[in-house]
Amino acid sequence: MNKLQKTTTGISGLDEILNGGLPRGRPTLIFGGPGCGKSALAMEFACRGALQFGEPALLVSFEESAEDIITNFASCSFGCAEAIKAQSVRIDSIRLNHDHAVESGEFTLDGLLVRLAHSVKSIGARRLVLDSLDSLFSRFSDTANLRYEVSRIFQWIKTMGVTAVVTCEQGDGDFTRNGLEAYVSDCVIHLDHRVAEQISKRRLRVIKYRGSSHGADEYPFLITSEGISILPITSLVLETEAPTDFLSTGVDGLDRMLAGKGYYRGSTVLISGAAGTGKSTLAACLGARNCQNGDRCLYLSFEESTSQIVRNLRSIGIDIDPHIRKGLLRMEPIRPCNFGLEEHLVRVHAIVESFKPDIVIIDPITSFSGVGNRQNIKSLLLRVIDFIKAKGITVAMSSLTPGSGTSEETETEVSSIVDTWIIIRFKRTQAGRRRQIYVHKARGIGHTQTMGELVLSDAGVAVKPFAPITEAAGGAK
Amino acid sequence: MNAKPTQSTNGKPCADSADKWELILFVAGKSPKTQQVMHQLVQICEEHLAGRYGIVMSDILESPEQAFAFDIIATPTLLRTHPEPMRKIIGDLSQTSKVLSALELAPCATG
Repeated sequence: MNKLQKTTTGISGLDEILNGGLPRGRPTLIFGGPGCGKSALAMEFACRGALQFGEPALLVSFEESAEDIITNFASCSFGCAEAIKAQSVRIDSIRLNHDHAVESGEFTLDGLLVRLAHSVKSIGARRLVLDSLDSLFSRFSDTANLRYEVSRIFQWIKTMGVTAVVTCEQGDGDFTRNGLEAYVSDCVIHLDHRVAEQISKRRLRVIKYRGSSHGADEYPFLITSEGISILPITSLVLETEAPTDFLSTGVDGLDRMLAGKGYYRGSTVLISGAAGTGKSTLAACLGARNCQNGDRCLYLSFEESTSQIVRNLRSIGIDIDPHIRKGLLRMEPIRPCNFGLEEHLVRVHAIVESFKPDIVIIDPITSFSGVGNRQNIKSLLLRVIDFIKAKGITVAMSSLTPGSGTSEETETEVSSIVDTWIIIRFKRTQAGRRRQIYVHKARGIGHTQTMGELVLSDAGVAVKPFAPITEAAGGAK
Repeated sequence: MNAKPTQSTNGKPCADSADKWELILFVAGKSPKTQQVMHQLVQICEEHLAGRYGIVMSDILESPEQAFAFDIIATPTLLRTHPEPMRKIIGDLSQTSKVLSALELAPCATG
């Protein structure tokens, strides 16, 4: 049996799509248009190899100087500068168009091969990046001769047994400009960068991977200071065992309505209601209470700024500032319209991967309705929830119910996948508007069927049994 | 450097400059093909630069650092280091007219 060996790239999400990594000791072709992220992916492959997997990497650039490359990646957190300083990444810049050389007759690329071999040996490189091969094609006019030499480079890569990433430009259609895919039989990856409706979309697709299964979809990805982040859509699997312990909702009265315990850890909670009913506050209570117990909470705010949230909560006696300062509570205000749905997804993915929260609050999920159609939003939310749930993280989402808030249909139709659904609505009474709260469903929890009243005051947040006439009941609690 | 200077002894001067030309021929390994390129180069030099040229042959398989120092990626590569400006010719020099024009040796008018 000759099992294909793989090299872990260390790039978030990519190894899952590649079912383990790139073919070990072989060349992989990465192509796409200008600005698609080829060089960024190649650089991250090199640096992560060197720093995380002890595989030194040689990066040969035919376009940029080593200084420019180092500057470009200086702000990246995957450790470009450290790797170079530690001499586990070496950058060779081979500027082809600088010497105005004239071609006369047949040539070989032995000069390049000698240099590659020498540099690979000098640092014991196990990974190699050639960025990009098209520069060779623009340099030499005798393309027949060059093609033969390029195939020798690929052969040399296999002989050396270095795992190589070779980048090239996209030509017409789904092919590379210089037909380089013909030389690489092992693995070909296509990167795409489109801007639609002022929103940038990056996608990655594995075109072929000989001898290995791989994800076949187009995967959205993001380039952040932490590198490339890809969320494989179809590889989500529910591996985590359902936790049996509970998290307080942050409001004792509401805990009592949920069998005296609260939400299951790792479950999905939906809090829906009309504007002003206190959905966000209730979601924040979950974070505030559990941060006190040392849990980590990520608050994705799609409508309010951090300072607004802090101020509003302070007005009802909840101070989340200490949790933020301790690093237990991370506030991430995001404008829904700033990115496309896919970018939101990968962004959330990237933040969750780096912050490793116990609780994620999404406030509110309904703010996405401006950035896509119903079907896409639903699929986005399902993917976000699947991904967070698969990690055993508790997720609480607020959802704005249009109109009076009496409807039990949420706009985004995620209610079927949530474990616990809390509904808040305004109830007109003789005493004025009061907030009625009830548990619409709670999987696996013997919850109360009775109505509660949500009271927001400067003394804090409380949930009491809903008494029909409060004035008469007076101080009765 | 794997130096093997070859110097002409006599011939008709052709280029304007009375300077001695310094040429380096970068090759990868010793093969009949390498010998052929060297032969071709000597012939050109004898015809146009007789008596005032020096050729150094550099084998990058033996001295890889030379490939880095002179930014060589293809072989054979002919480098004119003197007179200025530096000239680089890639290939087996079989297209003589191209070589001559790149070195500014053509046309050979002045006798």
